[in-house]
Amino acid sequence: MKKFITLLAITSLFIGCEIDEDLNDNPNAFTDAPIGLIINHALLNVAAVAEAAPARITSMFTDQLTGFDRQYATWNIYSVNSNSYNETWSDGLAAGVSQAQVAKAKAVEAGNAQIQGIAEILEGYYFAETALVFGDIPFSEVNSLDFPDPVYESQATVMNGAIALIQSGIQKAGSVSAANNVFSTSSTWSQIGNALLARYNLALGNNSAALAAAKAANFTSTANDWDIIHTTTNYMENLFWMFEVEERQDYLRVQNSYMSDLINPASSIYSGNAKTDESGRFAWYVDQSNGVSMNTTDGFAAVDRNYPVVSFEEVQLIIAETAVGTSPDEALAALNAVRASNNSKYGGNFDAYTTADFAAGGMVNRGLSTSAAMTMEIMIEKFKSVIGGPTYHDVRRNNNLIGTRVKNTNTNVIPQRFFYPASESSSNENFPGLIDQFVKVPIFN
Amino acid sequence: MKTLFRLLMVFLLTAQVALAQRTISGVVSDADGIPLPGATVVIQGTSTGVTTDFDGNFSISADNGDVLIVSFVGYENSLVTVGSGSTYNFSLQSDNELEEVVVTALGLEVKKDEDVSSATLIKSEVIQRSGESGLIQGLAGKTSGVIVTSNTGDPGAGGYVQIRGQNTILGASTPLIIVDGVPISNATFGSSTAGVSESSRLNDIPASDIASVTVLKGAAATALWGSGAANGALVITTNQGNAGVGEMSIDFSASLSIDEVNREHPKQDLYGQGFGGNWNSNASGLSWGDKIADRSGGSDVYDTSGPYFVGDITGSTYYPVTEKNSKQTFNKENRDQIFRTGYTQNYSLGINFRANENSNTYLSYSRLDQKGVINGKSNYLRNTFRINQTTKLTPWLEARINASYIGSESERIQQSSNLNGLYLGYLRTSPDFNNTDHIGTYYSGPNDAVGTPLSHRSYRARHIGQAPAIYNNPGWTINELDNPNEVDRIILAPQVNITLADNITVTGRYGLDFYSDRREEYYPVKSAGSYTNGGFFKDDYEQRIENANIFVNGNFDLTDDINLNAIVGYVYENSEYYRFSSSTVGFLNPDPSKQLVGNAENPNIGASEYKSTNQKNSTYFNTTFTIAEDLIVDLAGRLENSTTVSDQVFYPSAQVGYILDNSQSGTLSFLKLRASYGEVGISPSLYLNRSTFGPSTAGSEGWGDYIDGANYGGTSRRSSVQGNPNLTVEKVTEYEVGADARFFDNSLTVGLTYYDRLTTDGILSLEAPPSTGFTSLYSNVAEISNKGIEFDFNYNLYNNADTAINIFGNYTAAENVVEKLPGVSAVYMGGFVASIVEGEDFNSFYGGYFEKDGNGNIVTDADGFPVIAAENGVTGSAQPDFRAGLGASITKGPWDFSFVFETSQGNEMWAGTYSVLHYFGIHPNTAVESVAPQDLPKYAGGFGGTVPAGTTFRGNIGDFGGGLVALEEGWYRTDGGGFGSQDELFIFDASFIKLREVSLSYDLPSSILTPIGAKGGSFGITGRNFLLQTDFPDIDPEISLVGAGKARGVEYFTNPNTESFLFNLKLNF
Repeated sequence: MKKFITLLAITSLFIGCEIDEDLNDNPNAFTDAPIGLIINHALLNVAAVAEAAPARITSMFTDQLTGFDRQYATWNIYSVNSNSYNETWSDGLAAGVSQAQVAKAKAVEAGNAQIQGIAEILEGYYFAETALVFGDIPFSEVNSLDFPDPVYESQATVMNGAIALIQSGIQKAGSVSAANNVFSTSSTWSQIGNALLARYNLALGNNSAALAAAKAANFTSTANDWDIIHTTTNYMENLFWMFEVEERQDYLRVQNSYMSDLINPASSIYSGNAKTDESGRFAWYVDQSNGVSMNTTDGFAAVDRNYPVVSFEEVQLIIAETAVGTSPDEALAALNAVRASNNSKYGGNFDAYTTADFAAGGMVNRGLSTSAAMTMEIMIEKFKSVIGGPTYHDVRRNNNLIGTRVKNTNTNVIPQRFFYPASESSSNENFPGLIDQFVKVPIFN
Repeated sequence: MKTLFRLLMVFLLTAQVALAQRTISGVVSDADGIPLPGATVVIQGTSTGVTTDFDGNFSISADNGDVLIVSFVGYENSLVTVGSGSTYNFSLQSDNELEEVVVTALGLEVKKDEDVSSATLIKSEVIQRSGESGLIQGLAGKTSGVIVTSNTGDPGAGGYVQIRGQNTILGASTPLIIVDGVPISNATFGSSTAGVSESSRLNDIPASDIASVTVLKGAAATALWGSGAANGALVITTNQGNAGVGEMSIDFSASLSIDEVNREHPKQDLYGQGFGGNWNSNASGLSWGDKIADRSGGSDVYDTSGPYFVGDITGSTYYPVTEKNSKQTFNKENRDQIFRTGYTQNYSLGINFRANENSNTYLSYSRLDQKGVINGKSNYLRNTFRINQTTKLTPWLEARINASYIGSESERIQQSSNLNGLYLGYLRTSPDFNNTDHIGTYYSGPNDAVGTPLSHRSYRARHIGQAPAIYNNPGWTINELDNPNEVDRIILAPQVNITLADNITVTGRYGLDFYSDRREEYYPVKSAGSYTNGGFFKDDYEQRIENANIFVNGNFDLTDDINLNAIVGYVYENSEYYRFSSSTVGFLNPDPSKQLVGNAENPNIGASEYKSTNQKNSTYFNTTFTIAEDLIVDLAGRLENSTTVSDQVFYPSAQVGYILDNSQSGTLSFLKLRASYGEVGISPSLYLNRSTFGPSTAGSEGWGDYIDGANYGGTSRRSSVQGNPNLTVEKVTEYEVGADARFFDNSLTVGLTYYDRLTTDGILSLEAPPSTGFTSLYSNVAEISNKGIEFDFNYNLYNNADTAINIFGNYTAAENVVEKLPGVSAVYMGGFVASIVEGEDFNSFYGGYFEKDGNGNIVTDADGFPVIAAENGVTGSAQPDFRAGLGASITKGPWDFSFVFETSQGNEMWAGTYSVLHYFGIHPNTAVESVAPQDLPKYAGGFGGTVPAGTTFRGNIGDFGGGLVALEEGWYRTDGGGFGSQDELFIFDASFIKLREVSLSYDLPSSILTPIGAKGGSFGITGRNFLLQTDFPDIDPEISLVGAGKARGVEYFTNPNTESFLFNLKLNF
């Protein structure tokens, strides 16, 4: 027994053995990263918000495109639920706002005002885009360890906060070129920031501010477009192309959509006229070999087609829309600038309109007052030339002025918002409750 | 290690054997004269005793008149009174077979009657009889509390094994595997919903090397392994070379198994490719086309003016069809393209050899050569070598080394949710398309003299191979893709045993399990999915598990009535893992005969690696008090340090057993009651302690379209997972009570156990509101409960010299409930629909479902179609009400007949394939015609409209409680099919009864054996899996989409399971 106890004592010496805690320091991942890489992520992530699923969903809702197959067939008729938007929400707030804020904090620490400014513009962009589709969202409590359950703030508060961030960013980085590894553009950050300010002020109904910002953006051609760069390199391709060609063929088509009918010369609601031949634009969107798919060879969904986040067309048509009441000539000039650009972009024919074309008996009068007819033509032009989010905001803002189709017989409006995601409802104690998708968001109410 | 050896030396120096009085010596052997090492020789009425050495020798000091009692596990005691002689040899008679043993967590044998846990031992021959090529699969149905499922019938595919219920959400759910006292890897990497069904390291050990498997179910029995043992343990012993001195015994066995698919999906052959009732070759792969019987029946009309395809298989030329006239269908051709009869050859040779008294040798070789039931590249070849050598170096020092090498190579078939998957392409193929020519040359027109060889022809919009496939032709999947896998594994387990005194031994043990697992996936140019321009992926895995264990074992009689067996030890565990992967996408040279890393432009060549090291060290003790021979009290504990937990954690256990009846005869022959409490744990996974920064992508990763920051100058984002440095171990506590009893002169053995275990501090990836900047945060917050009853019986119904009838069975009813899941509605567990939800069964299904009113009736819309709830909910559970096994063996002369049934009742399963084949209009349910008795609304969420009264339409008439509705194409292609927003219609009862095995064997007569020099031998036939009774549609409900992943009851285009007939020959020389 004594011998045994001696052995026990020896064995018990092992109790002191410790494990090296460094073994739990992940050898496979960095626990920090340089500011340049983080701001580059914040830029790259714009693709998730502007070009990927949100662009497809919004263009199905506005009937620019048609959900045809599998889950997109159900999406096409608005049969979605709160799980459908988890990724969109995360892309906006966790992958977007939060990373921009990480970059901003690092920039502040490093005293790098330019990157701080770019980070602020991006932060504002992500806040505004998320609020536009979801309504009220968290704002001041986002991305803070002090707030495990961020409270939701009113949509207008978020939009105005986003505008303030962008304005602050323009102050710091305005003179810097907005072209970089992710984006191709001839614009500076001041121009891009102002273009975004125009978009958001328009949504808020601040037409004069929108007009001023759109002018300040000074987009003179499509070279000013804020374009996400795409090439034929794997995972650098246009996302509409990748979705259709590589991942989900036929889920999404242009077939029989309201937009395609407007530009299809064979359609009964074809919007062409003596000054307008839309066949070039039709070919730009629609695969002419089958007449139903997206044009993935040389059209808007070509493999190396850059994707405009903010475009010349959008900025000019904001000028046009907001100037109709105060300066119809300016409005007409902006619309005609887009039409002139269309000539070179699509081919076909887009002769300049005159005021007479909008007056009673004019080719685009549509039985409206001159001013209303001009607004209608401006909105239809924007519908045909700007894919995704901005158009979706327009249709909701002006109560479907252009009369796009409602594709589910159980409703007379298209979805007015994205459902709050299940990822928030199940985890955030301050979740305000699910709101039906046919209820308008506050700023469009 | 240096420290260990130094300590060993200390032990050696202190070892002294005191001798006095007269020395009595002798040999203890069994009835056949084979020495019994470790037998106990005790002087009656004293605490003086010794154990026999390696050769059964003992020597003990005794006086005349002392009574020596010799005992050994599994044998009857023998007594002798010491007289004038000094040599006494004992030949012990084997106890009847009921004197069973089990093997403890430390690899030590104890008598089952004296074991106070719920452990059960399964003998080697029972496993071998199953005809399964995997050791794990061979355990199915053999004991209560264990669930064993094959992942698929693919050669060498891994299996899933679970002891009692699930205890953890993120940690491993596989039991600890201990071979000859040292833990080995039990890994299966790759449990996703796509790819190939991977092999498992549990498949590596051949059944022929195994002597026994003890299943340790309870926490108290495994507490000595602390945070490694929350899921129970399989304690395996291998053959140790038992033979007479100077003798050799050779076991040879050969078996041939003929394997077939055991259940196939039915496919309709009445409607052609297309939609809306029209034939269309470009129809998204649907088979909602025209009614084939209504075609004119002539030959199809072709457009021969343009492109065409010449098939390599038949040489036929294919032109685009402009008018479909032929009534021919090809379900049989397409089926025969992919299935064949599989063959499995299994050979083993085992040599037991004792060169001299101090040496035991076991040498073995086995070879398993399996050709799968799927045509093309589906096979598995495994070679194993083993040498177990035990040598007695001095009377007090014994050394052993067990060493084995396992080499396997296989070719695997892509499956499941995967555009390159076999079943996806095969099952979706329209009945009027012939897949036979999957490869050939595409010519763009009559002027194209050269054409494009290696073109890929498939049913979905690629009838003439004009472009890369959308879904692979199954012929392409099985013949042109390559998925080789090569594993080399070495397991070493040296051990030294030092006898310090008659009652004290020191054991030092080291275990090394090292393997490399090399996997490749090759997609030639024109394959479907992301690799239309070719893709080549290599993954090299290495894992190394080391274990050093030293323990002191002492046995003391504290008083006349109280015996103490005490073990104190230290164990160090080290686990290292490494993976290196490369990817090559978009081949520069498409030649498939060479598969080269780097055959692409630079941006399309990638590499990645992952490495980890995890360590634990622990001190442990185990004390067993035996009081008055009928009360057994066992106390144990382990104090553990581990890499991922900052504080030491103590795992205690206490077990009590009381033998109420040990009469060994009469109606009640034996009765023992037992109770235990134990704690085990699961360490947090590595690297959850800090947030990380990594490269990023942007887009809709869920849909597959995204851009990669690496192409844009490099990006980095903070991970969406928030690190938590305060994670602690998931603690599992368990109470267990039970009884072991025998009746009718020991002929009926019964074991009954009730257990109640609770996991607290379960680690959960808490869904963080994404507005916090993170989408998840790891936290010790979940609670999981497991309760159950386990019952086993074994009844020797009849036994005489010539005939024996034995029946056995087991029953398990268990509840595995997620008690607490704070802050989360559901945690996705894999397999599309499996999730855990608070208050629900661990293996629940969660998804879209029909809204119900207060009475549980489906809420319908104005048309009578169901309304789908806005949020997801629980739609079913894969947890059975009970599982049971029942078997019998009947021996009559040389004949031996046995069978085992297993059943699972009350479990549900998601029929993923079934649901999607409705969408495609392939399932026969969709190929029926109905006549509308009244105007029937079509689904407004589909294409809307009405079927007028009296009209015949393709589809069914349904009634969801709101009146009759037409379930037609519009319904099935939207919410009534597998891609719709509800799963409720596709969760089915998956109860089954399966004849796991039935075998008949014949002991060969000496007239055959003697001429070939054999001592014994048998020939047998076994059938496995070939009777299955289940209401589940179309498949064997035992396959698993996610392999060994935790999601249970999920299936989606998973390769099928098999049934086999097996012939085997065994010879002993």
